[in-house]
Amino acid sequence: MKTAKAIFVFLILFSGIFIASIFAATNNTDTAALSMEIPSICKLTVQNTDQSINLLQDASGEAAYEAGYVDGAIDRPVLTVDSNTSWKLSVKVSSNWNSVNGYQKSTGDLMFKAASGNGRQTGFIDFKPLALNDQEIASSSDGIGSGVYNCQYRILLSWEKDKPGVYNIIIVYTLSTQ
Amino acid sequence: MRRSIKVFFLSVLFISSFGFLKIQAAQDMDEEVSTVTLVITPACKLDIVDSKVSKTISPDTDARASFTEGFIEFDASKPTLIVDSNNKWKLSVRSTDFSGPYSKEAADLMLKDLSSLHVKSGFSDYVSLSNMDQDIAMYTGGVKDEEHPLQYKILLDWEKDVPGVYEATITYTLSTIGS
Repeated sequence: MKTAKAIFVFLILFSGIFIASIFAATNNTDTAALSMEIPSICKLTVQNTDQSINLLQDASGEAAYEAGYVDGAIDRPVLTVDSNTSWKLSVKVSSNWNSVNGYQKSTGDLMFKAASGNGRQTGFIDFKPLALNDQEIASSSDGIGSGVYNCQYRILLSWEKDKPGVYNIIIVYTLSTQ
Repeated sequence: MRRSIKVFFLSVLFISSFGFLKIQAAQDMDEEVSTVTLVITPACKLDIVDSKVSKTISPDTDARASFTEGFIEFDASKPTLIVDSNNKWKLSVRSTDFSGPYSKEAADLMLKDLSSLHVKSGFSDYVSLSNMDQDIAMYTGGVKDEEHPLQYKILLDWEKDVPGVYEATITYTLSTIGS
């Protein structure tokens, strides 16, 4: 009889605990790990890349020779810089002008300038000759988003040297993280 | 024990190599190109300094001397032509007959080029002008601000050149040659 009473008490207690555990508020905590590795990334976009300048046989052509240069269109090209770390933007010509009837136009006859309001410009604020080696346009120790550089070309002219023909040159812009 | 040490060192070497490769791959670079094309056509420019010249022959001994010599000379270097060209070029001249009391011939107007550069043979001394173009100077290359100081001379004749005002228009043409 005592044993039966003990079993009955145990069952009552067990049922109480079981019911309480069902209705009690759950409080379960666990952790998850998230890892993302961001490398150095930069992106250079060039708009209005190609520029063709025609010297006409009229007063404008003569005026260009008299001035000693002809200017390309404004905002040709436009460079846009994005980088998530320190960066440097540079420019060079890939090779000399093509030869025209045996005449080799000087590489430095191609001048370049850039304008930007983002405060990171370090060179080419005014027209300066380009060269076969890289020259710095801008740099920063911080990242940048959509840093715009409005550029313009200028070509030096000489009545005595620049004979009629078609002159081509390729300019290379390099954006690199540091 | 020795095997454990070997495994330990190999692990360290592997981890070091991985780290080195990560550093090498850390830099990023983006390169874009732009092209410039310049098309130059043959071009030239001619300027004239002191284009209008005038001379009055007064009835004094000099006038008599001029008629006796058969000509009157104008000031040197009036006019002066300034030539610019980016290509092979030639400079030519022609004149109208004189207007005035009678149609004095263009041939009575003579011209010489005082420049030492690229003057075509003949115009180093006086040459009679005509209504047709005659080449004064020529060159096979480009030039900048090349000066050609000129001088006029007018032939005089007691019998034909009656008093009056005689005027002629002289046309200078600079043209490039070839492409």
